[in-house]
Amino acid sequence: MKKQNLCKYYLLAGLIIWGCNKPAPTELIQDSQTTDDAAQIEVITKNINDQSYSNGYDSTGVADSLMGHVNTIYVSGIKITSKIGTLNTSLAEAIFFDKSKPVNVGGYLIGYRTLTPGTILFNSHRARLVPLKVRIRNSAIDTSLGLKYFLYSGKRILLDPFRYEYNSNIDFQFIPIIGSSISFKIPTPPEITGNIKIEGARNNNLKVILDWDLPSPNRQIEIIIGAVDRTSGEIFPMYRVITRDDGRFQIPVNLIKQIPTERFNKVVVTFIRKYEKYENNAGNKNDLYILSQSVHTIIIDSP
Amino acid sequence: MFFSIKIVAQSSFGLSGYWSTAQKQISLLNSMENNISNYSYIRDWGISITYGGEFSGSLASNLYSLKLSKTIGNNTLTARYTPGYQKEFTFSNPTSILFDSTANQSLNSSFIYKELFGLGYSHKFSDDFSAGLTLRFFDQEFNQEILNSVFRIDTVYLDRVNEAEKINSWKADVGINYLLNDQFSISLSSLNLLSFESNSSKENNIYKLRNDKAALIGITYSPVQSFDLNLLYETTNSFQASTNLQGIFFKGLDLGISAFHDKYQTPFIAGIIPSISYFNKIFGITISGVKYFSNRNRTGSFSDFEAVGIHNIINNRYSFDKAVLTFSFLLNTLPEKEVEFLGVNVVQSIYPTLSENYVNKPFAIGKIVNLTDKTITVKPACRIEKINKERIQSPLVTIGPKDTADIPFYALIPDDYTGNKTELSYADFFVSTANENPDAQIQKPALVNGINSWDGKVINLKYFINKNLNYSMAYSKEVLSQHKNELDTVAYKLSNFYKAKIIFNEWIKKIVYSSDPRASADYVQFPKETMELKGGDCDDLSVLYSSFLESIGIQTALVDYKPNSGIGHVNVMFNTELSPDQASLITKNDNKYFIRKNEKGIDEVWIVIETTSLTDFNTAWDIGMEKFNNDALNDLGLAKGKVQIVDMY
Repeated sequence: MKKQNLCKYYLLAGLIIWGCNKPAPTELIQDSQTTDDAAQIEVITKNINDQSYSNGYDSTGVADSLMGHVNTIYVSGIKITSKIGTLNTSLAEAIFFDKSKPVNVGGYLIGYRTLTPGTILFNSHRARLVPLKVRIRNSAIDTSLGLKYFLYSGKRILLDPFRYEYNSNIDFQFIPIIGSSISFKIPTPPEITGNIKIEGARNNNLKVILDWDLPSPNRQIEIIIGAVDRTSGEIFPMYRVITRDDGRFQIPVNLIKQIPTERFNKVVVTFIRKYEKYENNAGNKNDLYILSQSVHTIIIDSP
Repeated sequence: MFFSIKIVAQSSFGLSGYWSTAQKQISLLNSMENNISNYSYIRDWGISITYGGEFSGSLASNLYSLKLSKTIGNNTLTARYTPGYQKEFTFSNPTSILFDSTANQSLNSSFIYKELFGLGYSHKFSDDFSAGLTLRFFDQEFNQEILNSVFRIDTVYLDRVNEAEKINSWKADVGINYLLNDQFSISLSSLNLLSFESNSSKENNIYKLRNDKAALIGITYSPVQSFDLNLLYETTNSFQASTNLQGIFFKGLDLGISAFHDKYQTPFIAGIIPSISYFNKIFGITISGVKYFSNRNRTGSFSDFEAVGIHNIINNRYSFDKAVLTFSFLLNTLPEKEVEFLGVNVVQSIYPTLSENYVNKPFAIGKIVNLTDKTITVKPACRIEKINKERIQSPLVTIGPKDTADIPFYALIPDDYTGNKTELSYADFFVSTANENPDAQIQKPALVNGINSWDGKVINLKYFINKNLNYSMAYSKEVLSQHKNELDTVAYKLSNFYKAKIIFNEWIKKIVYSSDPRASADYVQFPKETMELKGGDCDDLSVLYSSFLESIGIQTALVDYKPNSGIGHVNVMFNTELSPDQASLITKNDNKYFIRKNEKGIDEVWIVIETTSLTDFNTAWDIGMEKFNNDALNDLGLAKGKVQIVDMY
């Protein structure tokens, strides 16, 4: 065979081989409405030394990351289940800001000065004025923003007569110093009661399965996964999961397994069923965020 | 977080369609998928390369397969490498990571199904029947991104980690092909008969290629030589139907079209595979395409995929239209067959003692055809099992182009052959042309008799007479030496007569008459056997006496008295070499001798001896001549052919 012909064959073979590429893949689009465990997962506390969310009575610690910036009316019915039993609490807050008076600490905008323009009533119970605490990055608690309207009651610590009614309405009334009062009803979601089921062990096919009652698959539910510091006993919310309110969710096992047990000895799971409404009628100045939520927090030993 | 996906293993789809197995060249286009038995006409080496592209928006080209086949005798081995036999699915998991409440990052997964290579074996039991098996290797990858949380000192963040699992599996299937006649051929194969796979996790178990067992039935009908209708039916209720036209415009150009129904695809006829192919003796090129009748997109519904899945790596609901080019090469280092047997007729049984008979007269006649367009010279040969170790060549035969000829096959019986049982053996017949290796061969049964078997023809008793000639010579000379004094007194002219007389009187004393030991008229003892057994019938004793006389140079002939019915008779006549005038030296009775002319036309005196008389020479002479005179002369037996004198030299 002539050398020239041989070269042609080599060239042809090369073209064939180098001209190959993979058959086109088929991309499958998630269109299933019944997909189990479809969820968005978010890291809440990137720095586990940042305790701004842990305020001692709101186990979720995530009432609102907008705190200090947005006018807020907030009501919660909270159950906390641990080895010693279940503690029921009710919480109501209202915070109004003067957007013309920003407050900076260490060069960071931590919020605006608050306003107390009149009287706030929740279910006809007058809210008290307490300092608005904001924990800033160096863990110092800052109260320079001013006051907020506040009501809180629990089984063992009954401070206020306010009761959060599940799957009902809370009457909100604002009686300004000047002018006519404003009132409206804040609907509350059904009570949520969760359960944590542990299968396997940390090193042997561990499964952490959550379930809860009264599912409403057309809505979403929020689940906060956190841990309790072995030394301080404080709760650190770590991940926020938003999934369908279908009554069941299996936590991606690595979220639990990777929590360092030498520092955290308990796992905290908080189920949140909430109604929320955000109004921003005049730009940033008259914005209003209304949140009502039914919360169940369960604290268990780390698996 | 996976889903229930139904995947069944790849079955009978081939990128070049389905071609008639009755057609030699184009049947090579059939793939392992629709030719489980690896039915092949490749004589030596076969190579095929299938290259093509799929129309998935942009053209994605692939080396679909590289196939190598080798035929050794009746066995064909095939190896196939299939880098283009793969299908990948990508999808996002329902779980996603939310960054800063705005950016959303999904967890992605992919399933990749590959068939990497296959091995095939086929054995041709006859021109009509072959069987084989196929081994195919699959590789399946299940990649899944999962959430992983990472704690670094005081920082926690979420990461995506790929969890991959590879599952390797082998599939084994068997199949047969049978050509019923010129019009019908059938094939029968298993689908997913056996499967072997590496360990897999429970999670991915449901995503593997399924190994549902089924059967594959193929039927080809060829109403005329250049037209075939084919049906390939899978018992899982999928099928392919195809038609082939050969040499429609010119020799070597073939057209084919296959339509396939896949129960997992819509519409009922999911697509077609048109093909055009050109083949000559060493090279073939085929262009084919796969056209689906439903729309094909690069995206699909996960829920649909979840519900139905795929059942074939290269042919499923997510496959795209394809155009495929196949090059085939037949590398034949073996000589082309120039001649073929049409048949062989074994015309006579083998009597080993009658060996010279087969040197002169063929024991089988073969009919062969010249397959070429030229005149060829054919070398016939044969080998009879139990007799020959080597092939025995027969004379060369020249045959004109495309002509047929009858070819004689001669046998050669070795002198040392000692088989004494009659057995049905086999004879292999070979014809070759320019090469040592035969172009064609055929085997036929042949009856091989024992060495004492005789075909009943008196002329052939000479082979028994000559068999132990050394023994006879030794015996005769020993006897004569004991009568040396007597012979020394006899005139030379009478020496033949007296030698014959002395020998007869000597051996006859030891012999009794007995029928054939095996009660067979066609059983003849060799002289030495008769002496050892001390008995025999007329042919045994005639053979013995004739052998004694012939061994010392006395001409003999056997007188064959053909029977009117039942068993005939034979006795011995020998040449005294006396002239008619000298006959009175041995007898005054003219009826006691018979005059025969020798080769020079000179009359000589012959006398007939009845060996079965078992008396002395004179009595045997009297009885022999009396029977001869009566049957041969008085009854005109010689004239009528009822009595025949058969010379033994």
